[in-house]
Order: sequence, then C-alpha cells, then structure tokens
Amino acid sequence: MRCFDLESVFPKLFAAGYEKTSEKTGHPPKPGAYNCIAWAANDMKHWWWPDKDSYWPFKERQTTIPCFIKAFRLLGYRVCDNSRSEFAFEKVALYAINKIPKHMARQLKNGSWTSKCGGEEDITHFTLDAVESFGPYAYGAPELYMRRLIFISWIVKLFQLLIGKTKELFGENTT
Amino acid sequence: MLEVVVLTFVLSQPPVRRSTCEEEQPICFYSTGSQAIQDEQQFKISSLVGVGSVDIKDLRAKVFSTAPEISYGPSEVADTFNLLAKEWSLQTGYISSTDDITSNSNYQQIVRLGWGVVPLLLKDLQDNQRFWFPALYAITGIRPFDPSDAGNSKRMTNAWLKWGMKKGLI
Repeated sequence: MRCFDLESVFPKLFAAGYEKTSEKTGHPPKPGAYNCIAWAANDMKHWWWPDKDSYWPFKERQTTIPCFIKAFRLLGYRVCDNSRSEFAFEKVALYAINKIPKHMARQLKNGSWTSKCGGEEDITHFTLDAVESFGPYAYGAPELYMRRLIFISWIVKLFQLLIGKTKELFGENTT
Repeated sequence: MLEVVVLTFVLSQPPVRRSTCEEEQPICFYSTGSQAIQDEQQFKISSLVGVGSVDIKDLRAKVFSTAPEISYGPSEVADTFNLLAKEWSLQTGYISSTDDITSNSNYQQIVRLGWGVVPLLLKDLQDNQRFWFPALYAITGIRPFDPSDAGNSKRMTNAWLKWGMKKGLI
C-alpha cells in the first residue's frame, strides 16, 4: 500500500521501493510513544532522543554522532564501514545533516531496511537512500553504520525484555 | 549647474547598506539537496534557534525572548491551538528529532499562547498522545515526572495529567 504522505516528504521513496509494514509488525502508529531511534534499538516503549523529555541510556545528552554511537555501543553495536548485508550481523544506519543526527534505520535479514517515521508508520525500504531527504524537516543522508552479531542481539533483546517487564511490574506498583 | 544637479541626485538616493555581518547573510544549514529552505518563515525560526541544536531547556527563553506571550480569549486559544497543532502534526509527524519537532514555527506559536493553552495540551496528550512534553515544560517550567520515566510516554502523560488534575486544569 502506498503512503502518499511519506512519498511527498521523501522524494526517492517510491523509486527506491518500499512497503508499509505497520500492520505486519504489529506496531501501528502511536504518536509520541516511540520513534525511529527506539525502533532501531528494538525498544517500543520509549521515545529515544538525547534530551530531558526523552529516554536516553546514559546521562550525557547531546545531539551529536558520538553520543549516538555511545548509546548503540551499549546495545552491542560497533561502528563499521559499510551498509552491505553480512552473514550473522545486524546493522543500523544513522542519518544526519551537517553531522547532526536525524534518523536511524535497522537492517533486516534480507538486506532491506526498516524505519519508523517519527511516531507514524513503520516501513521497509529496499535501499538506504529511500528516506534520504534534505530541507527544514528532513533526515539527511546515511552518515554512519554500526553492526552487531546476531548472537549478541539475542542476548540484548532478552535483557531488554526482562528490564521492560521488571519496570512494568515496578511501575504499576509505584505509580 | 550640472554639478549641483548631480550632487542633489546622489544625495537624494538612499544609502546602500553593505552586508558585513552574519545577521544579514542567513546561514545555510542545509548545504546539499534541492529542497533547501523553502519556507521563509520557518527559515527565520530555524536561524533564530539554530536547527539541530535546539536545547529544549532554552525553548521557553528563546520563544519568549523573541515575542511576548500572546493573549487570546479561551475560544480563540482553542481555535488557534487546533489550527497550529494540525499544521504541526502535518509538518513534523514523520520526524524523530525532538530538536526539529520543537523548532517548528507552529509548535513555538503554541508555546507562545502561554498558560491558556495548558489545559488543551493536557487534553490532547490524553486523547492523542502527541509530543507536548517540551511545550508543557516551556510554559510551566516544571517536569512532574520522575527523570527515569523520561521517554516513557505513558508514564509521562500520567504524571502530567495527575498534575493537571491537582491544579484543576482538567
């Protein structure tokens, strides 16, 4: 199904090829609930951004590429030099404008990429340049790639699940 | 005689102001791409707050230092808010960067509506869960949620609504 709203924002989206996957992934649009960074980090409970109104895994909060690298290093990712699909690795790409982070996409097993567009739909795009855009409210272009072993991603996901469940339980009791 | 005419003509012309400082030469934040800076008003706002480097804690200071709080009647506030919020959603719905979300001119105009818009923000937070946390902080100067809950929209919303109820705003 085509998303004309998104196509009007991302001029290369239609040509590059994409698919709206919100229904398939079971994560319909929830404005304000979580964003593309959270989606890349596999955390659908928080809005990730380095400021005081959003979740960030550590205290230092600056909208810089090193700050994003540091956050994703905590999830087991390490900087790599390309976006090619590699056996046993999971990759993320960081989009930036003038070295200021704007968006993140996560690579799927088949080499395509998945992006959550703000609080809106999540889409699978076949190439990284599909969501490249420039202007006042844009994603810029991919600036950095990070990868982690699939094996590590399982462990991290398990931890995330456990932490989430624990917080949920404690949260219900404390609030 | 001719000299006098020429001199009079020259003196009657308005002085040509040479651009010497950065203020007059807008900084281009987007050096690449074809759609750079389409909206002049937005560009002015972007120049003012610095795209990509908006510190939310300074949002209030930045918004109110450039224009005073706008005073409207309750119905006018609601109409203005609905209009601005709709535009803001359309323009930034697909964006993740809270810097970009809060530097949007519509968002800043909503903040400029002041305390009168707080009940509407809380109501919208309850109904639509839109990202009003920075706006609420910018207007009220407080964050009623625990810092460890930052980013958890459910808990942040609950904390804001609880605060709103205690204050009699909703």
